[in-house]
Amino acid sequence: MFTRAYPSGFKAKVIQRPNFYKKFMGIIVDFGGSDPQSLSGGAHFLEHKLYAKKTGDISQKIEALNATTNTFTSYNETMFYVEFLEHWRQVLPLLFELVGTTHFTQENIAKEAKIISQELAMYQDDPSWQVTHDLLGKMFPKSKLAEDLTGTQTSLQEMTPQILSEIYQKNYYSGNLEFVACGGFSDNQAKSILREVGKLQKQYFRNEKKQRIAEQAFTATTEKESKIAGNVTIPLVGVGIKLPSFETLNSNLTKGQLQILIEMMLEARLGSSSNWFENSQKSGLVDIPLSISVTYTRQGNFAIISGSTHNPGDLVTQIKQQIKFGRIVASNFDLQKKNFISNSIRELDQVENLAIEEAEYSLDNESRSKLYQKIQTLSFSEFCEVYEEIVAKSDIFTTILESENEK
Amino acid sequence: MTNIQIEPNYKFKTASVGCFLRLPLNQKNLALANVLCVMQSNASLLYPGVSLQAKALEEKYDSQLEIFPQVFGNQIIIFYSLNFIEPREILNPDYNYAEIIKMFLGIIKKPLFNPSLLYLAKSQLSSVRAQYLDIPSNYALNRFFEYWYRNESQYKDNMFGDMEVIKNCTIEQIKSFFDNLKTYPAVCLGLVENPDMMTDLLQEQLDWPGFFRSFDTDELTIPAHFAPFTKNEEGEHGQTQLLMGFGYDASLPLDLRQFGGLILSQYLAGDESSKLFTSIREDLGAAYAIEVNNLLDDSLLLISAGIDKDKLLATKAKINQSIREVAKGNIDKTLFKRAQNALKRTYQSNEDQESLLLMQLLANTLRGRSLTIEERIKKVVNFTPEKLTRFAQSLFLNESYCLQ
Repeated sequence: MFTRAYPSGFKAKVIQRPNFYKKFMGIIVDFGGSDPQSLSGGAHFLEHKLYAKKTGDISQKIEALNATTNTFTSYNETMFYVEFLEHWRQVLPLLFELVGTTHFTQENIAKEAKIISQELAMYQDDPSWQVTHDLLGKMFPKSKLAEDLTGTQTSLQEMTPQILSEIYQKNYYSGNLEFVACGGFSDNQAKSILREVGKLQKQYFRNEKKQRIAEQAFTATTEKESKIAGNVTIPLVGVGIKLPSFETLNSNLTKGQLQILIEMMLEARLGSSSNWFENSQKSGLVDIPLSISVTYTRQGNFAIISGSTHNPGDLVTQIKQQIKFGRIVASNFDLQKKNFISNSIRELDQVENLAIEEAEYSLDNESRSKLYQKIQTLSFSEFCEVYEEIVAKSDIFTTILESENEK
Repeated sequence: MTNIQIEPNYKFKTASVGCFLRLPLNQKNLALANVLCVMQSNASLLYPGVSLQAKALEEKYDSQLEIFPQVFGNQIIIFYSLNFIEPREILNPDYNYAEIIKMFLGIIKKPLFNPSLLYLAKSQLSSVRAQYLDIPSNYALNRFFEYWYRNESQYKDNMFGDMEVIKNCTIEQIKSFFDNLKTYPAVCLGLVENPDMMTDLLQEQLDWPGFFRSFDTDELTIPAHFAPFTKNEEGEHGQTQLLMGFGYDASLPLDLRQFGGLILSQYLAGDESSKLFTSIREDLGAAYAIEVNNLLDDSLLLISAGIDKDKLLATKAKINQSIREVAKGNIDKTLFKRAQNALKRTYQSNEDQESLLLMQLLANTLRGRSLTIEERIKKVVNFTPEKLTRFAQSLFLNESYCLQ
């Protein structure tokens, strides 16, 4: 891997995957949908609208090079990327033009609001979205986490060119951006890419050192359990763990390492190879494995566990029990480590995922390889100690989504 | 000779091996295949418990076992596939091809037939189906096919089959289904670092009669019969789901149906500059996403989108108009060229995805041909606007389904 840190604070890396045809280039912004912004959904709206340029939709220029472009907005990041097979010298300036120039008008914003409104409606029609949304609303009320990253139907109508410009100016500058390329690049190509990136970042982005966005704290609602109604055949249960700020823990593990550790512990207690899962299947409590995810953001850290069941009350009780008191032995931990190592090897075959993951870790000053090394050397006792401290400092929330009739 | 084709893996960190069995599609076969596959995914005689089998796979560096039936036209293919880390990546002498294949074939060849496992499989299938259908776009797709095959009920559900069969089947039925399965045409395909060693290991254990029968078939395609149908159903969702199915003549040359359908799909909705993306998303603001899929084995070009309900009529009109324009020969040459290039890029990118390479091996074996990626690209590049017009002229709107 070739890396470069430019005097402006802009960083770049090229990850080589020999023999792969596909090439990936992206710019990641250390700012996302749940970071402070004057209107919810602003980061995501901006992501959509950066494609609009005075000369038209820039994706047409990118596609004319037989490349394809995409973007995503997550809680604390926005990423713009292009995938292609050849012509990197033509693709690269277009990626910088995409992220580095704006053209917001009343008309193009009103048009985009309709499209994003359909995107939001699509998410809201998904029962699992409804459960996650309710949990985040209880764990982090009055925060941007409590609203969808796309915003609300109201905020979409309120968007203006001024608001978008303000969000752009505040967050799109050299120290807050990183470039990543991945694929079958030669050594010479990698070096040339970094040289070109150096020129382009100077041309397109305001030179400014990174101003870290401060972490925020939100007090959870007193209501910890709720039932909501929706279009589901089998009730859907969601359990949210409001995790403590990782800074408050007596551990020298990084945020990325802690996220993985919590995931491993929850998988060992509730995952498809756990004894709990087999017993729960036998007793008819659950049929298919639960979905488990752990997320850390500047607005708060949380885990969400969800699954379908005909006995929602029992499942909620059992998940809570497992989180707090579930027993695991060293062999479970070893197995989880094995899974983790395998996963890290598998990722090397996925050019796009590899690039995105590297870019995301890099924003937190972490590196994928160091993270994997640390997990491999983690002892079972350290693992248990950290987890117990996390659980003791966590709060648990539950949501049951049932059909209108059952509720 | 045993039906085995193991190709060299030059670049991936993981290897893939799959056994594929082919049997005719009907709702009973599909239902029984689903039950058997879920039972085998859960446990086997070798690992007689759900967590035992899951742990065995995790012990082999989280090997990914997938057992499921998939419909290809009028046939069901039962997939038994294993993706595993190449042993060269792991410094563990106990982790090698022989051990991996012993586990893989042990699970396939020695199912565990017991009532509790059967009960669990039925329950799992019922839950998976319910969760799948709770997503409006899935529900709409399922209803679309029920109507599309309303006069050929053996094809009407291409995912789960007859739910009554799933609910009522017995251990004896599943056992007998499994025993019969051994006689159906089967093939073993793979991509591994050392194909010769892998072939030797498989050869001695693939003893089912089906592995010695011809796997390919030229009778996959279900013809589309002209019988226009419109259905609007009520739902309680934010978006309206619109699916428009255009049938085409199954007797047209295969290349015209396959590559005409692919290029038209790309031309209409492949990327941001495509026809429907521009007219429905950008101009009308009616949808976030729009998809066009050429389902070759169903003789069906399917256009689907989640849309703003107030723009339903306008969206339908735009779709019909776009197809009509191509049929009249009014093709945007720049977009046509772009669609060709995009398909070329997709084919080349497929070479970076092991699972797609395995699927390509399967598709070739199933259709009895050996169309390489280079040959596919050549067919795309040599496809002309005139051929696309000819393909579009053969399309007839046969179903318009809407879930409001």
